[in-house]
Amino acid sequence: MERQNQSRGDRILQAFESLQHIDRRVMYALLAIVVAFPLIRNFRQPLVVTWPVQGAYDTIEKMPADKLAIIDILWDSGTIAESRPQTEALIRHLMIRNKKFAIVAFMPQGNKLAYDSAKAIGKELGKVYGKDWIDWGYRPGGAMIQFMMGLGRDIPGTVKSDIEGKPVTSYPIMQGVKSIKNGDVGLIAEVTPSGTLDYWIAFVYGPYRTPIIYCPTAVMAPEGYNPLDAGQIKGMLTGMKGAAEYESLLGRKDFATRATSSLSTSHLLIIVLIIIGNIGYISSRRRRREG
Amino acid sequence: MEHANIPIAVLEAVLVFLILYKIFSARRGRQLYIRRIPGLNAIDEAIGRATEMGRPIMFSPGIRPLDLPTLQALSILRHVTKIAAKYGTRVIVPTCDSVVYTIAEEISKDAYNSEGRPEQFNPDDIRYLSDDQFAYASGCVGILTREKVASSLMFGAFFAEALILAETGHNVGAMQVAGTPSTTQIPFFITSCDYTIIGDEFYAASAYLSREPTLLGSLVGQDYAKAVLIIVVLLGIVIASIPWLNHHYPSLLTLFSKT
Amino acid sequence: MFTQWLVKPGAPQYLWVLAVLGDFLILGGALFFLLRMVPSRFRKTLVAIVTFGAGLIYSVEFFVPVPAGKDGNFLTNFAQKTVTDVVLVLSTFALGLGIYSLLRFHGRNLTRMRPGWHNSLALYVAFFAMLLTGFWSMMSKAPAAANTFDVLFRGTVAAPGATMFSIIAFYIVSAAYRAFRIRSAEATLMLAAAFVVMLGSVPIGEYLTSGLPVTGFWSNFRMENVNLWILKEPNMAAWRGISFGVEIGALAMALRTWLSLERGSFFEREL
Repeated sequence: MERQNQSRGDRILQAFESLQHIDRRVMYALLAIVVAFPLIRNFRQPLVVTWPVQGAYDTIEKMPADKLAIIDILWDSGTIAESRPQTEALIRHLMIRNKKFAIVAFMPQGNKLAYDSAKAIGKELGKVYGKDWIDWGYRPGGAMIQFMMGLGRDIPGTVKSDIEGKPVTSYPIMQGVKSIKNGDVGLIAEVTPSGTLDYWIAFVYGPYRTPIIYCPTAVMAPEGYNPLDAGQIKGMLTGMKGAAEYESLLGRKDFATRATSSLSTSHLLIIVLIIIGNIGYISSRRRRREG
Repeated sequence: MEHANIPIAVLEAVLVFLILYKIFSARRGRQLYIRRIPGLNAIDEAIGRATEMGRPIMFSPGIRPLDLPTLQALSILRHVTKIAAKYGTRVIVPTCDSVVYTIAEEISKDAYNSEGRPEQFNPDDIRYLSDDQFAYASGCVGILTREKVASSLMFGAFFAEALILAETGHNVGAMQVAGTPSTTQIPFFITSCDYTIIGDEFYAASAYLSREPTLLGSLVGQDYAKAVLIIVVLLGIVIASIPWLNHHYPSLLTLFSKT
Repeated sequence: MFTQWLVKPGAPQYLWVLAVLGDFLILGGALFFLLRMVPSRFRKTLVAIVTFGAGLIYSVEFFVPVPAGKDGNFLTNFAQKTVTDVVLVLSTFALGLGIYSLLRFHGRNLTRMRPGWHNSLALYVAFFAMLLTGFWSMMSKAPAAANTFDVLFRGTVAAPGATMFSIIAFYIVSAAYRAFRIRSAEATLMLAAAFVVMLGSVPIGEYLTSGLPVTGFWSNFRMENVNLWILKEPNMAAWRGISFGVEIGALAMALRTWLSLERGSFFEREL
């Protein structure tokens, strides 16, 4: 009888042990289902606005209406799911509050994607290109630092032309905009999946104390807590959830808000799989100890 | 543009002096000790594994153009290629930048020549894939899968493609050693690679592998420089924690800030 | 300089381009021959002097104080403007070099019909399709030009990039499942922190502690606040420690490269 119980116990442990070797294709299939299902069924969860996002929102609210905001686009199609909702939330906020802004891109793909987004939102809100917003076009990433330094001293001379190749000085939005040093820029918003925030802090915030909002992808967000803590950036939108929080502050439920349900379910799946894997691990350890 | 104030200039001078002093003292013949770094020892193990299995090694020098992390990665590439050349093992080097590609090609050719195996050098093993991050990642995934790589060495600056490369390497059963100064990617390498080199161990790699006096001296100098920084941080903590000091000498807390 | 002799103001743009190219060829060729004439034992010294001089510009620019009322010293404008232009030109040359090496490698695959030659053919087709449609959309006002480029850009450039990034989500699942095991006390602590950070980053995690007050002592135990505390306090402390080490390592390497003390085959080879 004892021998039968032992072998049954052993069989149970063996079954649990196999939990630490789940085929990865099963996991991938489960992930696909838990990501797709909330997007199809469209169920929402309440969102709490965290203080870094609130800080970003308040910075734009406080920005004087006669100043220019600069949105720096460093993302491309790879991070479109996180970066585009962030960009669109910022653009929408600026347009709703009738605040002028300029887009500049250091990635060729991002240049086009951000321009298309701004154009679509501008059309929806009745904003005119050249009067309410402008796109300075693409600049090579290798010249980013020199471009930032140039903005500090002479914006029209550094930028020269917009995305359509026309001189920026021919647009009403750029009238009276001389330089960051002159106090003409009220805000820099950097939307990026790479670690380029340090350059804005070193070359713009350092000398001129221009407020900076940082919008990284979720994986790059840990880099932003240092300057956030030090007060070098005024707010941070962390990935898609940051964009969703921002949308809730704007009273909207766009793509980022819908997608946070998928975020929740996928995170839960990872947690469940880790727990299952550890059950298998503990069982195998116990079996080895008993054996 | 930021410029130095006097405290920053003094601190920089101290750090530079320490590094240079140790470099020149090492060159004069002083013996220096470095602790064991398992990840760097594992490079030889990875090359040995590839040799035994008769399959190639893939060495990825990161996705940045020619900057400090890439230069460091290329110095590790030289070490790897020299040992691989000795054993007749192929080293495939996919690059993300055309300038890095030309330098990697030169380094590989030199390494094979120095081991007396110029005929083993295959220029097609040094490949420029693409400047685009994910196009590069796809190309590397293709190489890992099609060439059935036995060992995957990833040294240099990486971003989001780090996990793609590391996980694909794991799926094909390759032994993986990674080193990067990109702090955000370290967790991904740790979960998928057999050995990971963190932080300034990456910059210590060339000294560790070559045992060249200049590089060893520089490494020891870095440790002294870090000690100076720790002392400065501790002083800052003390100053910030004593209200009397804050009140009477508030500028002490902003000593290294540009005024 | 030759450009100004050869091309008068108001001349068509293509003449300027040709004249500038001619400038580069003549000056570049002259420099090349001059360098070849330098005895080989002096070449390394020459490289070391040029390297030191180039690095000295930024070092001096950083340390020389800025006069009151100005936003730069006597080197700032040079470091900012002139160096930018040089970097831009060099990176454009590097782009051309990259395209050449890519087409050469895949061209060889095609001509020798090596295994996988169809991938090289796909590269050529894609390369020239984007190049030609790009130029077409730039030069033509026809909607077909812009639409074709748009379709190719969104379908073959933007979409695969997003797809490759999305693969990371799947890989994270398998990597996390494999790596997070409670092998030791530290591993268990890391696992617990990972759970808190994962739950604190998503609405469902916030919902779990939504019963706690938003302000006051107990608000510190709300999932999003615990998550932020972990990211801001212990995570940042570790981050700063690693960053100090990395930056000192980078300083040492930059110093060695600037002073030509760096060792390794690339730095020690005969010129």
